[in-house]
This record gives sequence, structure tokens and C-alpha cells, in this order.
Amino acid sequence: MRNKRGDLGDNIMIFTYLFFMIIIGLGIVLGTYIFYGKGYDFREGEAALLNYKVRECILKSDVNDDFGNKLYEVCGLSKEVIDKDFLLRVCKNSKDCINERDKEKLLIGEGSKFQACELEGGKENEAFPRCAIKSFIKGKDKFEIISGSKQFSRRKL
Amino acid sequence: MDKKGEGGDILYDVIIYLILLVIFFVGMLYYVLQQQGGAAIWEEYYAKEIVKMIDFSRAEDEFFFDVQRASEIAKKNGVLNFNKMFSFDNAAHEVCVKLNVGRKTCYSYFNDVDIINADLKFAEGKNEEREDVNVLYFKIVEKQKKNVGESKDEK
Repeated sequence: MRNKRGDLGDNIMIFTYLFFMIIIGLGIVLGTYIFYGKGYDFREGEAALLNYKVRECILKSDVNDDFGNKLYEVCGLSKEVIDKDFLLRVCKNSKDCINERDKEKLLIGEGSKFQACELEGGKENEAFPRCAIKSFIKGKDKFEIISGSKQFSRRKL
Repeated sequence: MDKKGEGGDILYDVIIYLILLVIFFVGMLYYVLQQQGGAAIWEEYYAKEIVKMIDFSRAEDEFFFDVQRASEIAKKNGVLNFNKMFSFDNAAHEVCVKLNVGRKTCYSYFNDVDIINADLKFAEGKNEEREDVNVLYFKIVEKQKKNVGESKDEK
């Protein structure tokens, strides 16, 4: 059937309708965001706290070859939570912990994208993890701990 | 003239538009109600503060945390069961805070401990002005490796 009366024009209105809905919706969300702010970001503190806990644990424990496997148990950390929401890398006598691949020097390397911790631009980007990098000496060994948090609060029913 | 039932098409279009409008309106209303009184922001604040305490803690530590502001927000938003404002899931290492009807805000702690005896104590604490405030009590214990740690302690 030929369309001589421009019926197509009526259907195209749906896009205009949706467009206005999206604009109004974004306006409400943006208004709320501006009014209440971006929330409370605890990731930097959390990364520093994890770093501190691991550091204290290493200083008090006997760090042998098997320490990496027992770190969670010895330090009282939850492996499931750290796997999911955190980055953790502990190196011993390493010159470049972030890129370290030598298994003897890398005690633990949980998570990936540690390079994000080095990027200056990442500090401005909300999506990047917040990191804490500390190094210290115990006996003859130099340890470096890189910890990061990528955890955001979750809304659940 | 409409001789071929085009009125049905128009009605059909209007229904589609109305359904979209209702979905949009309900969605926006739900969002705005969730944000009412800053409930979502305060939920996030309390969840993270409690997680901070847990991550800092050691076994046998006990906490009394001023939650007066949270109780006021929850009451204003019609949360009738105050015992569901704060919930601790030892198995998932998670703290959830609910200050509004609907959804709650959850955050995980990395410290491998269990939270026990969580209880909201009404007017049992004192703030800096020596006024009575509601406090949340909970105790930290070592992780129970058996089924005990997997129970959900809700207060």
C-alpha cells in the first residue's frame, strides 16, 4: 500500500518523545548529583589501610618462600574480597614491582592493571583505582607493597 | 476520513506513548524518592564508616557508633523496622545500610573477621553536647571457619 498521507511522520515522533524523556531524566539525575555531590569516596583510605595491614604483617611475620601463599591467612585478610575489589602486589628486592614477573621477587600479585597506579592522569579519573605504594626494609630485604581499591558501594534490594 | 479503522492505530500509538510515560515517571519517582533527604548518600557514608572501623579493628574489639542521624533519616523516610537499618553478612564480608524503603547500600570489608552481637541501642549513647543518641553496637571476633560465620546477623 502506498503511503500518500505521510503516516511515517507520526511514527517518527517517538524519537522526539524519547529524546525529551532522556533530556528530562538526565536533568533530574544531574540536578540531584549537583545538589548532593559525588558522594563519599573511601578508596584512597582503604588502599592505604590495606597497605598498612600488609606492612605490619610482614614486619611481624617470618617471610619465607611460602609466605605469598599464606599471606591472607597470616595477615587475616579475606581473599574473596581482595580478589573482587582490590589490587595487591607485594615484592621483595624488586626494582620495578609494578612490572615484576620474577616469581621469586613477587610474593603476591592479586588483580591486574597495576600500571593504572602509576598514571598521574588516573588520579583525575573516577574509574581508575586509588592506590597506595609503600616500600620498607626488613633485615636485609627491601619490600614494596602496592595496594589499590576499585570498590564502589553497591545498591541492593 | 477514517473508514478503515485507523482510529485503532491512533489509539495504539497513544497507548504506547502513555506506557512509556508511566515507565519514565515511575522510574524518576523511584530515583527521586531514593535520594530524598540524601538517604542514599548517608547510607553510603555509614556503610563506609562502619567498614573503616571493621578494617581497622582486631578480634575482641567492641564498637559503639553514633547513628542518631541515620535513625532520624530512616524515620523520616518511613523505615518502620529500625533493626533492618544495619545488616552484617559475615559470609560475604559485607555491611549494608538501609535508610529508605526499597534498596540498601552495601560495602565490603577486607579484614577476615566476624561481626557478632550487632544491636541498635536506643538513647544509650551521648554526643558531644551530652544529648542522648542512638548507637550501633557490634563486636569483632576471629573468623569462625565453620557454619557460624555464614549466618547473617541482621540488626
